[in-house]
Amino acid sequence: MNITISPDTGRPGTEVALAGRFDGHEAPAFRAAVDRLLADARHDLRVDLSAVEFVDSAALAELVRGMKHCRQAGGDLRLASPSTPVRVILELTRLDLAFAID
Amino acid sequence: MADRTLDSYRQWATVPLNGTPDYSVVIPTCDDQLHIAPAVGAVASHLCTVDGTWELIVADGGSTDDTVKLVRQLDLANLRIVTVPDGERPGSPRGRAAALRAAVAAADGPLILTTPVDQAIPVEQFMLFVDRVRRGDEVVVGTRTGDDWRFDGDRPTTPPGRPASRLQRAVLGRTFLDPGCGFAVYTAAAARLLFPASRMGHDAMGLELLHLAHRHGLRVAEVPVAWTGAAAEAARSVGPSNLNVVRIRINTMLGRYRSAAERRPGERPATPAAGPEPATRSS
Repeated sequence: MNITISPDTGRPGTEVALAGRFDGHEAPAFRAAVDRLLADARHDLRVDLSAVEFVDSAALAELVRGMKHCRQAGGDLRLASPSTPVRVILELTRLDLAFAID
Repeated sequence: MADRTLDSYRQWATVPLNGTPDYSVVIPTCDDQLHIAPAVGAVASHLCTVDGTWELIVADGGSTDDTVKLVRQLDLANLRIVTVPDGERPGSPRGRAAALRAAVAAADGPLILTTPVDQAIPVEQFMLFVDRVRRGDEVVVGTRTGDDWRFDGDRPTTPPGRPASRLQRAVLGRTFLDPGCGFAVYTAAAARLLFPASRMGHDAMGLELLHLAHRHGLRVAEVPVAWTGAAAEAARSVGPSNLNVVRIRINTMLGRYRSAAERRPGERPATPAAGPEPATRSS
């Protein structure tokens, strides 16, 4: 999975674009990236999921963890343009109700 | 395109199929509460992009966690759950195999796909297998022996699923690349022939089914698949043990795989203790 961080996209927040398969094997890299951003006081994250093919439960847990930490810091972690497979998984798990989705 | 797929998924999720599905997808589970919802989502989002109708069957081998509860809570119109038939011990290898047999017996589609719940083998490869069936193959099984692997640790030196080839060749007369792969497509006719005859636990079922398919002269294709996983997982999925290879040979020698039509007049069927479990259907 590729993780691309773009601080200045013209939209509010820092964009974290993911591509490929986001699963338990990739979750630690995502966690590290989010933790680095939080440590830099970047609490508004926009996670672009348009190029993600699949998310498993570990990835979903990381997204939820990131959202909680961002909200605790006064910001938010929003999901942007989830691909169809990801959208279906979010609906099945009802997490589409928990996240702000652009 | 994406919106059409999402609409198709929502239709599948809420409106029961009218008639026989074109595909039956079977996902075996056992204590997979963390995997099942993403697996259903991955399968659903892909199958909703292909032509044809489909049903999904979860074959639960005796979960003690919330897998079954979660599946029921999904409340999907075309998803059924099949559990371990009476008389088999839930969670045991034989119980898990019995649940899979029951699920295959319950499947209505002319093509039956089995796919591991962890989605380590992306379901997007399904149509490649369907194409093989359309070209005449009756059993198409995945093999994790190609170059398209991804690991989170060191790549194992032994390819995953690679069986004890020499023993298999010596005992069963042939070798199979990766009988424990779990990603396969069967014609319904082939599945109806093979699954009821199988008698091993789930850990040796793949090898047994391939062995039976060759015994019956079915057209079998072994197709490399892309897959992802951890080295530890690969080490665990090295295929059936030598003991199970020998057990399959013994079952063959004792005539336990022969159908009723093959038995001599007056010959008794295989002993009940070793016989195939009754297939039940639940929802």
